[in-house]
Amino acid sequence: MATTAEASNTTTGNTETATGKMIKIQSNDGQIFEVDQGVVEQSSTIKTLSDLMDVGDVPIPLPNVKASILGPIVDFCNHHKNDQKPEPIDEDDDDDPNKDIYEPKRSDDICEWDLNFIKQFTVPEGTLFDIIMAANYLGIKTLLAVGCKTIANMVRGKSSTEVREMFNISYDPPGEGINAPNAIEGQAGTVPTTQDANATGPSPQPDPMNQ
Amino acid sequence: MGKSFSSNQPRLELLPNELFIEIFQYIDSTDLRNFKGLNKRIHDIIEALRIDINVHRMETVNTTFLSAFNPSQIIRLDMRNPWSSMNLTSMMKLRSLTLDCGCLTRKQVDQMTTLTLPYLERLSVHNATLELQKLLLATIFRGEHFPSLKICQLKLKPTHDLKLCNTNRLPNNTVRSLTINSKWSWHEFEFLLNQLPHLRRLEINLSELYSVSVTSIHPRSSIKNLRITLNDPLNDLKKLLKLTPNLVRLRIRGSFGSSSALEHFNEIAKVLSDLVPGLKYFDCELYSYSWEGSNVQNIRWLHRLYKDVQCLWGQHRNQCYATDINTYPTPNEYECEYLDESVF
Repeated sequence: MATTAEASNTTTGNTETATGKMIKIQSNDGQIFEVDQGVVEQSSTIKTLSDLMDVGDVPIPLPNVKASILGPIVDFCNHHKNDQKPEPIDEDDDDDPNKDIYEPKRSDDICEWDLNFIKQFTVPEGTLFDIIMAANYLGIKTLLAVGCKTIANMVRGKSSTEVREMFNISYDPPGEGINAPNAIEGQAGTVPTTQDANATGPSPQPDPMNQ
Repeated sequence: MGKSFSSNQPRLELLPNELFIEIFQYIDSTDLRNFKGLNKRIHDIIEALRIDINVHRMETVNTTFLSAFNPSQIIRLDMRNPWSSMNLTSMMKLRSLTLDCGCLTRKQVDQMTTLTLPYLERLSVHNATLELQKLLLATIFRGEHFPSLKICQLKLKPTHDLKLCNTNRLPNNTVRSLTINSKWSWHEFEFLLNQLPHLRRLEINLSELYSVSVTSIHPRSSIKNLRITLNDPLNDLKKLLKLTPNLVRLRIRGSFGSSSALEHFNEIAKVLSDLVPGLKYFDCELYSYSWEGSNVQNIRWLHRLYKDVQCLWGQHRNQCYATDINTYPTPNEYECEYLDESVF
């Protein structure tokens, strides 16, 4: 994390650099990171806080993000701070019949650097969800998109059973939720409510009382 | 995020609903179906989503997954593979519809011209028969079946001349973008402008010979984006651009024949400056066949919007002066196969 500065090493006062005013941000476990305007601009949360507060030398507290997540996020923003800004939406684009505004978002367009970046966050450790939640909290749209696309790519072609196992998705309690007696009434789907050994679809949770 | 979790905790479910929705935006409906019914919370989130169905991307059409969704959830359908059981009447919330008529059953074609889709904003029909195109246009002009329609694209497989029934009707004020690849006469063009007074983008083929006076046609200030194929690019453009004084984007396609491309570009530059001074974007696909060498550098100097013009060479001295394509398009209807040197 070459671009981060730990709290103990941070000098006093917000410094001015070639990239403009430096801002300090603090993770919920007390670590302070010094970031420049290029990073601040990518986070709507940090930008709003730094605009609203005359922070001076005081770090902006980010109580929802721990240092092990905030550090890589600073790296991500540092890497992307010189990216070309997307062209402003041309009002003529709305009229282009070849551009369908209802077309689903693509998930296969993650750049190589971002692919390598996101690999350090995993489902078993839960860090992939941490980075998604942090990106959402900090208002970093590009990072949020990378995280969401990664999940979308993971489930492509997977069965319900595989999806449930991959994310350890919970069952509804017996007799509740989709297992409730009238759960499928009025629903369009064919949601299975009984376990079928041959089905690839979801299965109700085994009743713990019977185990 | 600061807490520690045991490895078997369902971590995905810690995400708030809005993040589930964000993730589901990237998941294809065939894969999304596999989340349905995992548990009530996820099931309910998916029930509230808008669903996109893309039969076009399926190698073999298997639509059984659709039973997982309520038809009213489907807001976009892209169907360019045969799907005989598809029933548009069950998809009344459609916003965007793309169809290939070559894949439709008779019943489905009938639905297209009789069904009311109150929310449909974008309609794209490929390989439409001439008869269906006429019916659809009449339907669109009336505005009854597709009252929300803004963008319409109708593509005929072979390009035919289109004749419209010019019965007096109220104009459709909703449609703002129309793309039709059939050949129109200027007479039909006038009718079209009257029927769709709020058009902003128009892509059309006016390559029929100029036969009626356009002086009676009132200029349309709404048109900002024009992509047009013309029989006689220079002279037709002089007449046409008088009707579109607020044009911002222009793409022109046609042929100079054996005449000098440099002279034509020079004349067009004067027309652009005189008639559409607010023009910001210019693209062209203009063909010529001559022994004249490439004048592309001289052409670029004629007008500030010509800076991207390049000369693409085909066979037998065929040339295409273009801005937005990189290779000479073959085949094309303007290509001259046998050039007689004595002609030049």
